[in-house]
Parts: sequence; C-alpha cells; structure tokens
Amino acid sequence: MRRDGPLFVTFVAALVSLVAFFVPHALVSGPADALAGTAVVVLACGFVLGGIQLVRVNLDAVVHRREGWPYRLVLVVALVATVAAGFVEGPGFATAGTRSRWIYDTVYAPLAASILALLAFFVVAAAFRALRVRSVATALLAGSAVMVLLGRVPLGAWLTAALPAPLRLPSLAGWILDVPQAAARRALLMSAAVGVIAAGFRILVGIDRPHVGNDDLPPGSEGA
Amino acid sequence: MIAAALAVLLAVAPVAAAPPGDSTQIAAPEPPSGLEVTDAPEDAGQALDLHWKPSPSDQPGTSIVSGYRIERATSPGGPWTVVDSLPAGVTATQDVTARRNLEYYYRVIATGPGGGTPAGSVTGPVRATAQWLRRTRIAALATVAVLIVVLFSAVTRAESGWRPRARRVPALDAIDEAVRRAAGAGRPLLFVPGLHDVDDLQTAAALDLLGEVARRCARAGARLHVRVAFPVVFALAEDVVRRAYEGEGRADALSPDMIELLAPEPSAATAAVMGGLRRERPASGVLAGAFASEALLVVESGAEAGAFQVAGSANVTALPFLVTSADHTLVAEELFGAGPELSEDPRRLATRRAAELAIALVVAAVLIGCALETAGIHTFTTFLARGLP
Repeated sequence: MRRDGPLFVTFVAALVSLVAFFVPHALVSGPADALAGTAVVVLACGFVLGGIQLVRVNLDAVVHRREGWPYRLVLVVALVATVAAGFVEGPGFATAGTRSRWIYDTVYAPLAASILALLAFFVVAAAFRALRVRSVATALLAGSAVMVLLGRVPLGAWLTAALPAPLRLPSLAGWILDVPQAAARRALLMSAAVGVIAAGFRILVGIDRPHVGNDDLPPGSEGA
Repeated sequence: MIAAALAVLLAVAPVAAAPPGDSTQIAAPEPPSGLEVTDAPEDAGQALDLHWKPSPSDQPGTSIVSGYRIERATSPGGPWTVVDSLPAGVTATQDVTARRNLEYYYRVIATGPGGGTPAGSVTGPVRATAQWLRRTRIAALATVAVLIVVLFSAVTRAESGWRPRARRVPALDAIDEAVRRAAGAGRPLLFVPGLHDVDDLQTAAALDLLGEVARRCARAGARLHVRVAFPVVFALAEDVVRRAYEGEGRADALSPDMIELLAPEPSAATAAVMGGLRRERPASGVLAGAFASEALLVVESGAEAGAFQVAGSANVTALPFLVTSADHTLVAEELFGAGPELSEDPRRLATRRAAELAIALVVAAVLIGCALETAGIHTFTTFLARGLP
C-alpha cells in the first residue's frame, strides 16, 4: 500500500507531461510547467543530500585509511574549499573576479580540458583496435574508415585525381557519410525512440518502478 | 582660368549636395509599414507573432535606421509600453509577454541617430489564444497512440497467461559472464549507469538493469561497485542495490562504499571513473546508460585495465566508441529492454516483444514511405514530417 502513493504520483506526472507534449493549452501546459518546476526543486535537494553523502563516504575512507585515501582527502578538501568560497562570495559567486570563479577558471577548467584532450590519444588506440581486420564486417569497417579519412583531406583528392569524378575519394567519402552512415544513424535513432516509448509506458502504468522497487514482481511471477 | 573655375566648383560641390540648414543634422528615418500581428500557433496563448515591412531608410550599407521599437497598448490611443527593441534589418519578432485572451494594439517605430519616426499606423485589436492540439505533432501523436495500443495489448495478453519467451541477446548473456568473472577473480564488477541525470530515460533503463546485475552479484558473491554522476541517481541506485541484496538474503554483503557519487560534470565524472578503473582493476564492467563522447575514455580505460566489458547506450555519438572498445554492446532499444529481458517477468517481457513488433511497424512505414516517394507521392512523408497543415 505504501507504494500506491508514489505510483499514483508517477502516473499523474507522466500522463500530464505526455499530454502536454501534444496539447499546448494552458489547462495542460500550466500543470506540466508546475511539475517541471517541482522537479527542479527535487533535483536541487538531491544535490544537498549528495554533497552530504560524498563527504560522509570519503571522510570515512580517509579516517580508516582505506585504499586510495589520499585522493579522497583531496576531494573532500576541494569540495569544502569550493563550497566555502561560494558562501563567502554570496549570490554573485559565479561572476568574474570572485574566488569561486577563480577556482573554476584556474583549477577546474584546465583539469576538465586536459581530460577531454586525452580523447585524441584514446581515439588512436580505439581506431587501432577497430581497424584490425578480423572478419568481413571489420574489413568493411576498416575500408570505409580509410576511404572517409583520406576523402576528407587533400591527399585523397590528389591520389584519385585521374579517376572519374564519382570514383574519387572525396565523392566516395561523401556518399558513405550521406547514405549508409546516415541510414544507420537514423535506424539507431528510431530504435532508441521505440525503446524510450516502451520504457516510458512501463513506468507510466507501474510495470517498471525503479523509484519504489520491483521486488513484488519476482522472476516468473503472475505479474498483475 | 579653367583650372581655377574647376577648383571653385569642386570646393562648392559638397556644400551644394548637403541638406539645407545645419550640415551635422541627421534626418529621422522614414517609418516602417505593414505591421501584421497574429496569434502564435500551437501555444498556450502566451505569444503573438509580429511582422512588418522595413523602413525605406533601412538599406544595407547606407541605413540611417539603428533599430525598431515595438510598443503595445490595451487601447488604440495608448498609453504605450515598449515590449521589444530590435536592430536594423530585423522585420519580425514574437511578443512572449502577452496575456491570454487580452486585446492588444501594437505599433512599430524605426529609430536612428536622428530620432524615432512617428508611428505610421496602429495594428489591432489582437489577442493571444490557446490551442488544444499541436497540429505539427499529430503524426507523433498517432505513432505514440499505435505503440501504446500495441504495448497495452501485449501486457493484457501476458496477464491472461501468455508467457513470452526471453530472447537470447549476446550482450545480455555476457552480463552473466561478467558476474562470473568478477566472482571468480575476487575483483569487483564496476557498474556505471551512464553519466547523465535521471531525467534521461536511459538512466532509468540503466537503473533497471542495475537491479538485475546486483541480484546476480549477490547470488554469485561478486563484489559490486557502482559509480554514479548525479545525486538523485545515487539515491535511486542505493535503493535498487539494497533491495536486490535484501531480496537475495545478502544484506550482510552491502557496504557504504559500494555505491559512490562522483561529480555531476562529465569530465570530472569521467576522470573519476578512469582513476577507479586503473586503481581497482575490476574484473568486469557494465557501462550502460547515457554517455557522450567521454564514453571512449571510460570504455578504453576499462579495456586497458583488462576488464571484460558490456556496454550499452542509445546515444548515437557514443555507440561507435562502445562497439569498438567493449566486448559486448547493447545497442539502442536493447538497452531499454535489458532489464525486462533479464527479469523474466511476463509483463515486462511482453513489452519487449511489443517493442520489437513496433520496430517492425516502423520499418514497414519507412519502406512504404520510400515506395511512395519513389512514385512521386509525398503526402505520407509530409504528414510524418510536418503533421497536418
């Protein structure tokens, strides 16, 4: 019985949000906007609880000298320092010239950029793994990749300049991107859309209930 | 003599070309015209669309118009309130501050260094009204309605005794293998339910899958490490794992650091997952949910750490990376069907079978659309793309 309340709220919220996608009238969009605003408040509360949990778990690991505890100490110190700077600066904490902004610009942004810069090296490693020819499928993948890579640089045009225009590498690369690649991409998107609708339906009617638990639905149960 | 006369003429010419009076005075621009105000379509009655013809003085390169000012009143005589200011060259805007079913009058004024032109005419009365249906989304509505009918009938059938078979998906079989490897090696199984928040339905699907993975870990005695990026996902993951372990009678195996909150920033969360993979060297990993390009960093780090990895996402940008570096991949709809497929619950399995039927219907619609387009009939594809006119 204690799950009926959350399930009812989920049903109403999901139904109103779904209907508001198709019905713009204020009688529907008003409640839908209010629900979206409520979700923002709930998410904000989640951040407070999350921060508390973060400090609790990591401090515990530091106190008990668990594996990797120095990293956790750095995390806690950085978290406390950033939050403290935000409190000191007040409402305009994110504007230029504040301590919070200094921490963001000189510590966080360079670290984040460094992490994303690693992508270039990882792409090379992943490409090497993908281009090893092991089957017909990987041979096709490798062949297409080589054609697209060469077709996007001047070298590809120079190498195939003597061929008829449709057979030159830039044309072939364009065809691969515009036809088979676009078709596969759209197929994936349509498949994902069906999956989203099915998952949404399960949550809407209470078959999936990750927020209250599925334990009253043991494997092979009668269901309803 | 002729040269002297030319010199005098050249000196006088600019003065003669200048307007009479003060040479520094700039004329006000000519007024814009043809202001049309219409109710914004497909909204809740909160906006009006405005279009006008530019001032004749608003010419590229030689414009003396610096912008247009839109004014609004509730009676033709004013008082007027400025609702928008736009740069020269712009001839349309939307007033999103209008209130539903209230009559308004509008005028547009061209402004420049020489001042504002007196408004030519007033347009009105006009009112913003709410519509009951987004006609451009009618095709989406029809599609969703058909899919809901298909899903509903499948669930009803399952409730009447139909037992749909679980379909063998290699990536789902690999999840059992991942659990076995973690239990056998005595090293953890890392689960990352994507790096997005719970408002992405992929995260909900990943949490559903987490429940099944946690159940299997509890049964096999494998150590489970869950790393999440957002606080609400953390709370849900904690609940899902606790229920799974309690359901298997292994509440004693739960530990506070089993589920960790990382950071709600993709790069920071990625760095934390990468660090964890290198330090903890898990035997296996299940990385399923919403990822962007950072998926490559995560899954490639796992591969380098020697982990047996099952990955899954519906993000088209992440999928090529996951397919390349993970051992098995749940592609698009498979991610949403993973939890139901592993649960073996008839109703949930029925929705998976219904989703497969829905995909077949979508494929049929695509083929019909291709055939009609080839035959020069565009009605069907236009309806799907733009809805009703």
